[in-house]
Amino acid sequence: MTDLKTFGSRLELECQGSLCEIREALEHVAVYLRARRIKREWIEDLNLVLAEALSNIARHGYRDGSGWIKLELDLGETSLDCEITDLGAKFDPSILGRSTPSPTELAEGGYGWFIIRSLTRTLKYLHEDGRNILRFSIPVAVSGEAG
Amino acid sequence: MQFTLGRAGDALVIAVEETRLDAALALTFKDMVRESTTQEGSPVILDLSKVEFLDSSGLGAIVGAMKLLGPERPLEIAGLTSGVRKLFRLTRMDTVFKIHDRAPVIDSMKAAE
Repeated sequence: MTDLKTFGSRLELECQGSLCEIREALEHVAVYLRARRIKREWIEDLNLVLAEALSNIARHGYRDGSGWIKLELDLGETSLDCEITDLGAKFDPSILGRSTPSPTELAEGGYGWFIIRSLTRTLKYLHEDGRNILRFSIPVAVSGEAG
Repeated sequence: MQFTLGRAGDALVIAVEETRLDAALALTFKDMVRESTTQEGSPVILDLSKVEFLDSSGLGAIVGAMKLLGPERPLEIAGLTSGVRKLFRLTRMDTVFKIHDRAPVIDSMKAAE
């Protein structure tokens, strides 16, 4: 089950990291951002980055199983700061996603970290007390139109 | 997963009737393409106009489907929504697939699940 808390410009969400729950979590985030009139293209970017980061945790961190994932979002004037914490296997994003596979290779994977790196700023990773903590921010703009 | 199969001239059209093609659906998608393409028609045109969200797993499954069909039966893509188009551009997959702006008009249709 997904546990969601929102306090003004802050959202906290905990889930069990199965692919189904990740979908549900992403939907909560999109609803929250739409209600704050964030432009559609930023919501799409964040949705994609979170989908990549969270499905990496489910597939690699928890080896296709599920486990605890906490997602924290802070919505500022010009950026959305995100922190994702999990208890899965340690990883090293510094070596991941520096380039995308060449399109002619027709690789079926290896795009995830490249996508995360391309759409985020200030990507930081820490491993502390058995926890993986991934922090990044995404530039955002509030839509001028109603709805 | 929901999809529709149809013919448009010589082409076999597979229209994905899902709003998300992501990690949760990637394997099912490849199986669906394998089964659907036992039907005749070339090229195979994948209509993604209903798909609002594609992630790297979904993209990998589309690349996998293209490899499965082989060079004799090209896989082409139609009807990219804005987010999906962005992902194709970011990964430069727009240079690999022939991309149609609009989904082709289908001659005959068969809904499947």
